[in-house]
Amino acid sequence: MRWFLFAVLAATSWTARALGVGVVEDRAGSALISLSCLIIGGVLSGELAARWRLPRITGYLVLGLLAGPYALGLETADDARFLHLFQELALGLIALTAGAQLRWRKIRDRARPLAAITLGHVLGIWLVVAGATWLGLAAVPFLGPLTAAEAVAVATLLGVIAVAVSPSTTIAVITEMRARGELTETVLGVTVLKDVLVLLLFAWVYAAGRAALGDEPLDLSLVRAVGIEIILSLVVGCGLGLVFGIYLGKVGRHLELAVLALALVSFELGRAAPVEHLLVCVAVGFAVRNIFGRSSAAFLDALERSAGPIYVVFFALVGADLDLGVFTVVWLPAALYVAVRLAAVWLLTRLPARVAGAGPSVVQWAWQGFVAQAGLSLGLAARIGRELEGIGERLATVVVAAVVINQLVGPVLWARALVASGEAGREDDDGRPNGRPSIGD
Amino acid sequence: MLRGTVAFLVLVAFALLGTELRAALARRGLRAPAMEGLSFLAVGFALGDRAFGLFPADVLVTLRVVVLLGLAWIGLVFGLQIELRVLRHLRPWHRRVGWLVPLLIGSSVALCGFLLGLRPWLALSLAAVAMAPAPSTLEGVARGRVPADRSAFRLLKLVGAFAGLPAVAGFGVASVWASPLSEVAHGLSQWQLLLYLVGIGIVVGYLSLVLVRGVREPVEIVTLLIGTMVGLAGATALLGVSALPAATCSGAILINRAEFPHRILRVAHSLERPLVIALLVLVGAAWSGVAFSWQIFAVIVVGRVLGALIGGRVLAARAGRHGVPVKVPGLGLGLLPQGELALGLLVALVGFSTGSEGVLEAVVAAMVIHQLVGRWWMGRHLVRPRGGTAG
Repeated sequence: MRWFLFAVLAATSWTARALGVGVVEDRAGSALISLSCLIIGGVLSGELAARWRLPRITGYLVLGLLAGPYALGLETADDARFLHLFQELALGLIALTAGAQLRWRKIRDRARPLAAITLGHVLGIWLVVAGATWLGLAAVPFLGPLTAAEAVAVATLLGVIAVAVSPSTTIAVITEMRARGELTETVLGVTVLKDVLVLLLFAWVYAAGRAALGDEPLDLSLVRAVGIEIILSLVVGCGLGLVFGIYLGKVGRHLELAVLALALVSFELGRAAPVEHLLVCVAVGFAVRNIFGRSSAAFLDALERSAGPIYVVFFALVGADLDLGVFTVVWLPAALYVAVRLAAVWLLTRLPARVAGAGPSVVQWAWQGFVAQAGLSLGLAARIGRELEGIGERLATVVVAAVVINQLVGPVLWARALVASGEAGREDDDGRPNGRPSIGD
Repeated sequence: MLRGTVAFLVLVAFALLGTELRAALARRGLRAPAMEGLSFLAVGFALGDRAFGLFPADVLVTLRVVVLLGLAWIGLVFGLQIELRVLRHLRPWHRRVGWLVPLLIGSSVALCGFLLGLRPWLALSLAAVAMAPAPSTLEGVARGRVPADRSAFRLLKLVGAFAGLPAVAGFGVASVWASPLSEVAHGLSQWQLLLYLVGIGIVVGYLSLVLVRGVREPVEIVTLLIGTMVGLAGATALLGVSALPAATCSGAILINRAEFPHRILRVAHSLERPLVIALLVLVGAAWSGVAFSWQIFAVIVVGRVLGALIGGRVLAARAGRHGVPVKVPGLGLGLLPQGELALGLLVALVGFSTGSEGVLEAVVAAMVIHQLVGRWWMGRHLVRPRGGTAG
């Protein structure tokens, strides 16, 4: 009955907009109708996913994928642009949650595995995927004939993108599964560290790639700019975290709104200044959790209370951004790329974790937390597509197709890993009780 | 970069100063007399483009979605309070005065508006805003004290609980009147639009009912309600009418038909406050602050005071006839304070209609005056300190 009503609602809104009969020109109104379909459909498909023992965000993503402008068109490209701000705000809130989950004491205790896995990923996955791509380019010339320099540039760029993961997916699954423990914290820590390092690595490889593809000299100013951006983001984030901590301690009211204001401020900062707004949010969350230990419980509660609707909206919009059409065009190179990346992630997580003396759950399951890819990879692909003439667009298409697969498979694997390791539904160290969900709970 | 950070620091500073001020006043046994909602409008103005500029025009356009959802949510929460079971248990004369007194206040404002030459839809909208009560002010004044006249206190509470209904109904009619679709070129009459408005409310109400049936998790209920209210806000925005009356219909259906109505009411309440605050901050941020309509100010101040005094006399007379004597003088002045429903209606009025320049400033100024007079009267005549004599 609920699905039937949703289908009627979706069909009605689609027909009304397609016919455009007697309605006022109002972009907000049109975007709200799209958003309504995404939210209601997202909740229903999340429930369906849970019934099939899959994480709910897979349901949200699939719904977004089907309802998006590239499929049924319940949400138009115009609406997606209009709702972009909400996507960014949701991402800011998720980044705040990610920062707040990181505890300095735990990071210090697990410094060796964290450093080993991060290093293994950043250097290992990059080199393995780049090498495999370079060999693959000779066997499956999906980009057409390339010079040796072009092949190296393409391979290294795909290698860097293979390192990137989706912190939002990682944290969403952790929140949904109410997971705590060594595996959870290690994967989250590596994910955040990698997020920072990938930006630096991409800037360097990108500058080198441009130099190789054109006749430009190697310009490392981009690397310097990214480095400064990262440092500035962390400093600004810690500063805002201090201010927010004082607010928490002294006022402690309207926390949901204060958190939203914080996300909005960091978004504004990201638009107007050389800072990465997600890093700012991570730093704020980290500072609040680790400096204002006592009052940070209220902060975490506020984030958790807002998590449900935010995840539905965010992942449905992420799903809507994924272009299914490109998958049919480049499915073979994309599938090969995904397979090589998966193998590299498996090997280069287990090996460093074992060497660094991580716990058995990390050695056995952590790789499944590094499969999902979303925003960062799509952003890097879009940049390549926009700025590298000739091959950029085709390269970006392959990356988008690979992200579609990784984003659909990643959350499922990560949720299963959390359940299998026994960390799903554990009680928090702060004594805040959690449920004991299984997948699909 | 500096702009955004400074704006955030200002926001925090506002909150810290507000908390300190409230604590200092409480230590001296005082309460801030102004409406809390107004402070959020002021915060919004401080953050807006005319002060620190956190909300540039393009962000405000996008955040209009929040304003529309906020209005729908206010309507939903109001609708959720219309429990037919409770209404049926009231005495007939209670129901009659509950409708009659706000209608007298609204009629007085509408009449003043017509006499001063306001457009009919604007006069009707202002009448609807003027009818909206503030039961929370009454409760706030009585906190820590006892009523000096229990009959008067109960009667004011009764009217306060009832008056929102005619206010929202009147506002629905006014919003249809002001819709651009009701012009001849679009081929839709006001009656047809009114039917659409009510129809959307009923359809969304039943849709919400089916969607939340059997759902236990509060977070899932709230997400589904957000989904349906977002749809309602979108549909009404495309028709160029306010979402508030339609959402009230949906809320009334939900509360009277749902399996666990109070679970829905609880989750709806949990989101009401953040949304109302966000709404007020955004309205404050978008405030141009260039126009002040003395005409509208006069209509609201004079019309509302006259209407309240007449309404108060009628109320006292009817109560006396039913053996409930009212001893306090000027009962109608207790009807003057207004709260968040009035602010919500005002925001909706400013949002859905063109040609309402200067309305926000004038009505807010009038609300402040009414708030001060009403609270002064309540403090002097309606309540007394515990253990003290009548004031």
